[in-house]
Amino acid sequence: MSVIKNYKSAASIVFKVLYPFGVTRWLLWFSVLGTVLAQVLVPLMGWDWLKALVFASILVNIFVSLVLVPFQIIALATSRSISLLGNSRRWLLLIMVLMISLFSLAGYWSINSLPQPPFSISLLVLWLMVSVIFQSSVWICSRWPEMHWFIFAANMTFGHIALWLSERHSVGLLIGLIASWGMFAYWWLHWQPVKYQAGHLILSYAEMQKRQAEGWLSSRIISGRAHTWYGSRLLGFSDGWSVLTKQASMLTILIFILISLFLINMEREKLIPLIQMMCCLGFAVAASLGIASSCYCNLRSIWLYTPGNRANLFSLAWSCYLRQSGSWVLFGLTLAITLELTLGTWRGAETWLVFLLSVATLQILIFYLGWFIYQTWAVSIQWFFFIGMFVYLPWAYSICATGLFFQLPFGWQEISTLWVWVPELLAIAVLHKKVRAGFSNMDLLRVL
Amino acid sequence: MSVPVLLNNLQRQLGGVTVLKGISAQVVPGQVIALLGKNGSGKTTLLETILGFGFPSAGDATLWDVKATGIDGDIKQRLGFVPQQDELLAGLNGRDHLDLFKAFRKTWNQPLVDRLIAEWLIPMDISIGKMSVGQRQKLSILLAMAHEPELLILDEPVASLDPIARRQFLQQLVEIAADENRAVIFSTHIVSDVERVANQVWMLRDGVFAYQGGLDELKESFARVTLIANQPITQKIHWPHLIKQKNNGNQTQLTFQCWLPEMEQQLAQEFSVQVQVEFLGLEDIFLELNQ
Repeated sequence: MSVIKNYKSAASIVFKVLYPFGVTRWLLWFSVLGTVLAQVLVPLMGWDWLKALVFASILVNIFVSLVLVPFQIIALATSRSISLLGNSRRWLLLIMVLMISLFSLAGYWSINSLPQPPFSISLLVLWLMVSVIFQSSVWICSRWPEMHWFIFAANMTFGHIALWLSERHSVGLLIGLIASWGMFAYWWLHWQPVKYQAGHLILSYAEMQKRQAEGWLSSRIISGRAHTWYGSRLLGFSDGWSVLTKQASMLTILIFILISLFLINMEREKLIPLIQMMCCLGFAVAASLGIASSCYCNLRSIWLYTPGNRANLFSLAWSCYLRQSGSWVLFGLTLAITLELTLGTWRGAETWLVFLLSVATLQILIFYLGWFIYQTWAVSIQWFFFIGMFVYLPWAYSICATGLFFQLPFGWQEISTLWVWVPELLAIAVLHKKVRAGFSNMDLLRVL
Repeated sequence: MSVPVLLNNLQRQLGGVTVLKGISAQVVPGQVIALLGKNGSGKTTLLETILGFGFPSAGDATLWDVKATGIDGDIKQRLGFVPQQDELLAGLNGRDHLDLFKAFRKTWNQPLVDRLIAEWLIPMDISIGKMSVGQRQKLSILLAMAHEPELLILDEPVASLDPIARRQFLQQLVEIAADENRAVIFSTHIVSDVERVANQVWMLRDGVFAYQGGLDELKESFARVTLIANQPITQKIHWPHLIKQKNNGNQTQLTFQCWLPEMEQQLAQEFSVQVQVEFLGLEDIFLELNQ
């Protein structure tokens, strides 16, 4: 009995370690529960949508696992205290094999249980592909942490590879699968890590900023002359124009690299609006969530240096946010409009004015929302990101549904442009007075 | 006359837990106060509440008669603070930091800054990200001292310093202490440092002060008394201020808080024993109070 108890407790710890975020663990449980429910309810009630939902959650789980688990696996393997726990490497290898096998089976089942499967794939091909992607992710993560997700840049080739593999004999596929795990196991069991690699996704904000300052590239893009003392303190790094330009240039390059890797064979009519949207969205997300979270975490550090009392903190945070996020948005917008003018596909000033209005109201809403969360629940920065993303998604959906940029094949096409700024404006009106007054009596917290 | 710090039944709750449970104290110029306490005893919370980072759940914390949470720029100019984890700006070097802080401060002692940079060997031209933890800590301390604040608050300032840097820092604190217009509060776990520079001790236990007063008085009030009898001692002794008893054959060891010299004679008479008195060092006192 105690042996079972021990294994149960160990399994629970491993589960928590591999999936450190509660939301990912819930998603996994939802998939398992959904799979069981789908088996019972779909034949009885004919709820095909449940199958589609389970299918989607399993796919999201596979994706999350391929991105998240390598971080955690590498953190465990490089931890000296874990490596001293006997055969930890072998246990981790076993866990990886089991996990990938289960995901492959679940993925195969969910694809084939759909009334109209989006694509056809055999179990062996899926198993082999998921295994190789996962093994490559772990290997890349061991050498260049955080870079393993670039493996998805090769997603355009996945379809061709799957097709090619489907034409091979199943014995060959099985040998390939065994060989891939054999090679991976050989490397895994002989690999000698140089130093401990912490799971970057679960670090505190302060720790992340510290590591950012130590990184080769990141330290360069935050180095430069400061413009204002408060702005620099709030951001946690120099707020000078040179730094802003360096960061915007890096983000532009990154966006273009990602687009060229992921979407290179897309038609030009679809690609250009997508680039424009990504420029604006990339800059908008970087600006509002990034800057607001910096202000959120660093506000306490300016408290002892401000000339006024607590109420004065609001105007300082607001001016820093406005200057930084406004610059980012204008930069992105200029880039998108320049692209349009260069290609001679001018949509008209009205489109861009609506877009600017929409982005501006969204930015302001994120600012107020951040402080509302801070004042009301005093929660961690992760919650701010979750809620921020929760606001972004309907906004991004609405902006697409207006048809300003795309002709998308869904029913809400060309909804009124009022939808992309009026709800934000109403939310701002509700939050403004409360947040501003809240600054006078809020605790300045150590945000985690 | 207003005092730098006045705490009146100060209470603070964090996440539903009462961390500070009614603290009253005052800090006057010339005092160097060592704040001692176990991990999680509330030292950082107390220092941050004094500086107005958070609102007390009850009671008051005032700085020069102004509520700590409502202080303005004039009072902030009189404060210096070194947090437990430095809050230096990534991407800037030490010189950039000095320029930024200097622009903000109304007073700035440049000769002191130059001297400390030279003595503490702070590399001013490399970015913060490339500095060691100790170098960052030295720079943080320097930035908090450069404007010669009337009240300097340091949260575990020597935790990352090597013994040489620690001595130099303590020497600097002694110089500050010599100026009767200034006061220092610092939290630490290194008890020997306290004995070198502090003249007052605040010992925090479970959210209240287990001791609050002069360092010398504290050391004179704690005594370990050994009673030596002709036969084994087994009885439980009930005396005022006795905090610990340990019987060992013909001897029993008693630890007293509030020890008075006349108690030696009284013990000898009451128990017909030979009495040996030994005064405790600060580290032993800390252990006795926190066990």
